[in-house]
Amino acid sequence: MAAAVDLNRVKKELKDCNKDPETSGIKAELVHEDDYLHWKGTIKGPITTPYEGGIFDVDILLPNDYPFVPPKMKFITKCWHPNISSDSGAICLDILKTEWSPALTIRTALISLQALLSAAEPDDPQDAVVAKQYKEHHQEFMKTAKFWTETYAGAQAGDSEKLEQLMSMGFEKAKCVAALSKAKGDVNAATEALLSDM
Amino acid sequence: MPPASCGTNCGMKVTIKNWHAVASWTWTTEDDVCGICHMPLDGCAPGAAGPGDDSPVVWGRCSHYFHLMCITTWLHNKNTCPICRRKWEFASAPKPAPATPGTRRHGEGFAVAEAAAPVED
Ligand SMILES: [Zn+2]
Ligand SMILES: [Zn+2]
Repeated sequence: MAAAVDLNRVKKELKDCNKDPETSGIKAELVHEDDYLHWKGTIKGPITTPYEGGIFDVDILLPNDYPFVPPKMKFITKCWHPNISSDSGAICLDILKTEWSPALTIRTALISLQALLSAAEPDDPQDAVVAKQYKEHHQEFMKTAKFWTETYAGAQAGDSEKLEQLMSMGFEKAKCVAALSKAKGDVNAATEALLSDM
Repeated sequence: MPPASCGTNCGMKVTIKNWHAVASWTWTTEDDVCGICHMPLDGCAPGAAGPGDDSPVVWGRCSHYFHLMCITTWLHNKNTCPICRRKWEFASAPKPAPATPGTRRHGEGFAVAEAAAPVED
């Protein structure tokens, strides 16, 4: 086995990851300058999924035998998904395990993660609780996944949803609208303002 | 999950390999680079001292090709082609495909095994 990672390939890969972030929704950077074995990848949540609008950070470690062994990847951003541990961010994806091939790259792996967000595989779960909910209470699953995306991955809830959220706490609609616009759409700040106003 | 075997970023093209009289699908990422180290095939594999030194190009029966050093390291893990995942068997270099303007054949093939005996006739 090679004793050291082939930096030529790795440097090329880093460039490759960032060549079209707008269209691919994929980005990557080194965690520490000059340490090519520790990356942070970023995936945009795919549209028409509960992850839409979210930005998910992925921790990437390249083992010394890379690319002959898969990169070690896990979600840093919390994510509610059957194949991702809601606790540790560990990922269950075949290409990151037995199906890895040195023809794959960090970029293709990140794109596969993005595809995993679009199409879960609940029969091969990483998180049994999430997988059970996905299969048995799908509506609830969608709601939770969306809530987690808003809470942890920075997705902005739609204005009407935010308004609903505030009104469900018993405030008048007009007051909610005012508080929300004053807080520039920040539900938490709006809630605080409404509460301190009482 | 769509098969992730060849990422969505690489173009797919069909190459007619008339030397075996079969068509085969080929995944290509970039022309003329090794699918493992991503360095030019006529360049140098990682760890090789210089171009051509210890980094000859070898073909598989699936028609994918790599630096000898690169594929050998992979075969210690798994006996499959990194690109198409078929069982890896060394083959002799294919005859040049009918010349297409703008394409260039790199280097000389390096026949490692006698596996690819001619099928025709
Ligand atoms: Zn190579
Ligand atoms: Zn192949």
